[in-house]
Amino acid sequence: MEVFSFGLLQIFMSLLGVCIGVIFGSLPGMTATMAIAIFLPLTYAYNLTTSLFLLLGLYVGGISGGLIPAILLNIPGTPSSICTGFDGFPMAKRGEGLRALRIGITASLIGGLISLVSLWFFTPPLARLAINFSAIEKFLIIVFALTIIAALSKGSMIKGIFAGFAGVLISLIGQFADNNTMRMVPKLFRVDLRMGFQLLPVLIGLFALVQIFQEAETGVKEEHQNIDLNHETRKFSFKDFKGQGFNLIRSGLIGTFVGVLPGVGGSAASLLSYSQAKSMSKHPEKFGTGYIGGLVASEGANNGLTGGALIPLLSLGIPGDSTTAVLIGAFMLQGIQVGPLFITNNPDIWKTILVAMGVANIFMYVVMFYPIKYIVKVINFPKARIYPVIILLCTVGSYATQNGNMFDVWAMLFFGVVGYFFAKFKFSIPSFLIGFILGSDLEKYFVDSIKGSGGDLMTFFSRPIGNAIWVLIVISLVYAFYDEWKSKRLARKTKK
Amino acid sequence: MKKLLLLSLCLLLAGGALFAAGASEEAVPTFEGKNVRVVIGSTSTGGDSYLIAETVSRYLGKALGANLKVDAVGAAVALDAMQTVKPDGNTIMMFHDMTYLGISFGAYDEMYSLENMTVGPRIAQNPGSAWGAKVEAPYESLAEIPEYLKKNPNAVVRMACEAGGVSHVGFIVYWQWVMDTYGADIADRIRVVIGGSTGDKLQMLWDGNADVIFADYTSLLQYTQTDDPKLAMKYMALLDNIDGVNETSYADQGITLDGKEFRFAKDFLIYLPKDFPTELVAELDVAMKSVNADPGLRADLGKMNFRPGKYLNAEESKQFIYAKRDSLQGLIDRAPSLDDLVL
Repeated sequence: MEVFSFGLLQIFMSLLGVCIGVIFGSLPGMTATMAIAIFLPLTYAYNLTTSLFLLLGLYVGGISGGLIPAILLNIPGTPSSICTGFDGFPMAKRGEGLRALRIGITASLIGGLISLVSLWFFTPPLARLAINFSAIEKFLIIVFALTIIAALSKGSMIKGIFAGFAGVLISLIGQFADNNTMRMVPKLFRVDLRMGFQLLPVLIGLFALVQIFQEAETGVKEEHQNIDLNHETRKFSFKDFKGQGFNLIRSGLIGTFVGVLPGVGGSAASLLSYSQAKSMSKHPEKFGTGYIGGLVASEGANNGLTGGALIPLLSLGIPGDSTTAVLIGAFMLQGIQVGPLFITNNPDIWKTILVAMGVANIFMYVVMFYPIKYIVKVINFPKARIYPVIILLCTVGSYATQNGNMFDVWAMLFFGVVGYFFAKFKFSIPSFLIGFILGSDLEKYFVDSIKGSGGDLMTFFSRPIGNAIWVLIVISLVYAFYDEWKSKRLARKTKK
Repeated sequence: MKKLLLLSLCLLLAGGALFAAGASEEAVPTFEGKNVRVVIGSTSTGGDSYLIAETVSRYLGKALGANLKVDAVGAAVALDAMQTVKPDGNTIMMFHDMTYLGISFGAYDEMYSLENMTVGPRIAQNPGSAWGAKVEAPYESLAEIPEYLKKNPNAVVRMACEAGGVSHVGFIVYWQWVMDTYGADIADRIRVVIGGSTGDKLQMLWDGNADVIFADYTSLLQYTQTDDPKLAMKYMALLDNIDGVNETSYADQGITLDGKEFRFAKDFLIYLPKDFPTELVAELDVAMKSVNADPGLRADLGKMNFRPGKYLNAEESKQFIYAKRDSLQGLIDRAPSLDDLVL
């Protein structure tokens, strides 16, 4: 049995984990999941306590690092930082890159700490809550997250919804697990597309390559962004969070809650949080223009996920997200079973996890907050130099997605071209991507719900929690359509 | 000048001869000093495929003098790798019965059949496949379910398993036994619900959408030990007995296949590309045989409830796995499709 004690070695491993995790998170195509998978065999070399400090450091660092390229380059380093770029990148463009990064890092810390407190004190009731969320509620939560497409499509609702549906359709390519039938897969790609298109090459293609293709088409007009980093228009101050307290706590809780629900996925956390922040804001029109509220919502939620996703893992033996699914291996390799009795049977390991999570969050803040002023200078690198580096990193990242599969590089290129035409014809790329990310879960939980009801569609209206989510879905949609109608009316009046 | 040219030519020829001699020595294939990619048929690093491959690779790497690195690429990519990589020992596969079951159930093309690869030594077994139900379920074992259905003519029992995998085998063996023993009326009221991961199947149980679920023995263990009424479960049957575990198997409950005792443990073998050099196969055999006797490996696998010490050399493994596949093929061919048994 492990003894709850830690010293310099564990502290060092946590720091090392956070640093490596941040690097993984900030490189497009590299994720916290990959970082943990790579370092998992080290569990043999160290005892479980030391390994947990390293692995949880990688987890927290990996989730947090994604905000750097999202804000500076509008390329989400991880799928869960898609919404970060919506407001972070416009801030960077107007010379507030460092401020945006520090706001994001601080929101990440607070989101992480909220989830840690939830993990510490509320694991049993939250696990119980997770059990009560059946496939029906999970399906409705995914639908609710999808309503952000309507909010993002302001000004071209039809095109936005079309893009979202196209994303869902593309996500269904591949093998249908229930009967192993291949769907929408040409015979030539039966091996490569068996599991469908992988998320990371699609994400990288749509965000990174599209920008570069657009610049290539018009010619690089500005050698670099010409942003005076030494004299930022506005500097970071903790006063920036004035008026964002509720948003921050709500976002941390949304992230934790989504993490608690096994199988809903980390990307849904920041999407739901962003959507909620926009719906409940006094200034919804500012979202997407470089507004702090949007940045806080996204980053608070995706770090809120870290503790939340550990709750079902440690109390039910079911991972809350893909990264914690990898963590199971660390316990299993030591012969420790995770499940309903894990905390009771292993109180020392449980305490180690809590301390390691706390230490990792603090290290994440220190490691990112101060050195970020040097990293931010990347925004002013000459484009002629930075674009080839981005392409190289994207290619490596895509290739690494399935441990060295060239098809993923071609997929990245393909979606870069698709995204280029989407942008050219003013179809929303984020809407397509959100549809793609949530599509497979949408289908899975729809099918699971139908299986349980024997084909009765009324099952989606049969549960109280589900009905409450229906209300939220309707409010979200009504608000989005009303907002669209109002802005069109305003535009007509202005024309007159 | 001519002399110089002649001398150069002679030196070149001598160098070439030396190089050729060196090359011919190099041509003797060996794993020693190689970086070997060990692909496995699962993308999970928490499942038995990764845990067994990672543990065995650490010991096997030392015995071979090679650096073995496990690559959790999933079944499709791993099977494809066996058809596309060069048979030079740089890529090998460690996987269980899904290697042939995927083809037997029609989920993968015939090109991935065992005949198109080289079978290497067996490295371990995982006997821990189990069916579990909620603790308050009105039956105590799989064998009791038909009796329960006889007494309750309107009752239906829903069993959650995956299509095309070991759980599929476990289900059709059981269903066929019920059909043969109790007739169509009872068998028709045992329906299948397709589930994915263990988490998905547990959720089906909690939602009331399944009555019996298939999972790994260890993943359900704590659910059978807790007294939380929402979570508590009991084992209904194991596919094979586990040493030191007091739970009944198909064999104990009299669930047979064609009247014969049925046991199914997942056999983990090394698979290699077709036309793999016999020298390398022999080297693997020798290394795996020595590793198989290592008490460290036995302890490491044992603590995860896997079954170590099950080494078979490549030839024995081949005969064993072909026979195992053929013994199931008849059942797979005549069993109804899950599409027909789904609720």
